[in-house]
Amino acid sequence: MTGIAEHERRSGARSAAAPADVIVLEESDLQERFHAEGWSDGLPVVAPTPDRVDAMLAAARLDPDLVVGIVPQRDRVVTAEKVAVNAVMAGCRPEYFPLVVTAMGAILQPAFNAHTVITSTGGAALCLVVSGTEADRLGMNAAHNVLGSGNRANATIGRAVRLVARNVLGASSPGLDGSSFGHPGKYSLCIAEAPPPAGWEPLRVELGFSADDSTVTVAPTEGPWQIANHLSPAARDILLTFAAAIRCPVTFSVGKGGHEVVVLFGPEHAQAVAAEGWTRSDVCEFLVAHTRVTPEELAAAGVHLEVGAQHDMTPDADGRLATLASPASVYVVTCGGAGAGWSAYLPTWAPSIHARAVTLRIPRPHERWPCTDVHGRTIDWLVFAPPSAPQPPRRLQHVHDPTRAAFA
Amino acid sequence: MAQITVHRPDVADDRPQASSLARRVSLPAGAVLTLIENGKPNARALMVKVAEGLRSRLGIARVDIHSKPSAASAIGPDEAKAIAARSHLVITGVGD
Repeated sequence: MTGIAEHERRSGARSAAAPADVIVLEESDLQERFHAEGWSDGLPVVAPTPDRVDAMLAAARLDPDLVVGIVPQRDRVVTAEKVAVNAVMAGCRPEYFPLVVTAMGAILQPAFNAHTVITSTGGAALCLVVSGTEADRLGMNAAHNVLGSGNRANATIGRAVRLVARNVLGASSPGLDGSSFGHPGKYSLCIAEAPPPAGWEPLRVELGFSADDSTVTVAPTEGPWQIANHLSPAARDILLTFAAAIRCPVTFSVGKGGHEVVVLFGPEHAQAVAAEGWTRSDVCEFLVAHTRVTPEELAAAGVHLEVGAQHDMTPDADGRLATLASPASVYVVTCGGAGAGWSAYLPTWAPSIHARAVTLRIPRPHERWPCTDVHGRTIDWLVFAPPSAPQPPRRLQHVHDPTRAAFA
Repeated sequence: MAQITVHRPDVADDRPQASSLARRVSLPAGAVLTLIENGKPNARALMVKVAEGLRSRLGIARVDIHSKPSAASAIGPDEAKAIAARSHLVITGVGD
């Protein structure tokens, strides 16, 4: 660009063909240069100066070249430094960085299938749900406007992982992001879990982690649906309202054998359901049972059944098709603000045969990140997964992915 | 006017700008071509049409169609070996 005084230097670790890792420019030209290069999501960015990037890495005590994960289909390696650069740009504070890196590590697990999630016409967001005291320490919002704007941690942590997808993995349009529409959650979609009502365990405990842990769950989601039930205090009525939303035929995955959903219970709904003695497991089982649809319901909405294709839409013995494969497909999260009786839910972007949510434990402050020397000091995410970490379908494993051993 | 040093947020694209085609060989009598379809609705029907056209135009003995269970994932290494073992030509990329 004319008018921008700059020089570029090459990192000694990079090949001669690689672009410079740093550039020098007029500070006043930063926004225009980054927009022109396609490095921004359309919003202004914070200048990723070396001192700011170093502060991010120092907060997590990570070496810049440490490998956070790979996307073998794109021949892309995501290093801690690149995550830090994008976290600075997103506006993260350094103390957010361990969470950002953990979320990115979860996104890069084979079960999440990042390559397809960030490519598909379905336009999935990288939805982050944080459970545990780390959310409080970082000042995250789990209350009013939890899906909206106004909280720095929520906004910038979610934005950081999306910027990594854009800048390191090539997820931009035009380009490798083929989203037909996308949705606002593709700027940022990161929420915290509020303490659940009496009788319910928090999400992290339900997933097999310790109550003392903090976790981040990443899920590839469509946009959120708000769920209104302002008048009934009965648990069954409230859950039927949830089920009516989840089984709506306009959602791509309905009736296609089972996808995952993130169900956000507002305070009134959570308290009403828990007060009647319904456990989280009861809720999940209810939603699985009451979101099974008939071919006639789909046909009434103009939806054709897939025949001889990847989604088996042959009705079961009861004449119905599964929308949620099992109770484990339902991620119940308590959050949102009190008021009238609102909740929300986020469908994942496709049936679970294609991609699944992944949860990892966030390292505690001052905890040493485990590394291995195999294949160049890759973070060993197994240390942050529970012993009962779900097994992805074998078809989702990739030949050249060194993390596949985690699921062998 | 202050100058600042900043990191680039992207990575080098090391893909080759151009690559040469594989060596062409004559097909044996009874050659088998395999098409890998991605599993999406109507993909198989489309590939059947393509297979019929290729069979008549190339004069090959048989065109097989291999269906992936998920459009979102590549075939596994064992599947790839099995397809390669029974085919003389394989077309692996079918988009939508």
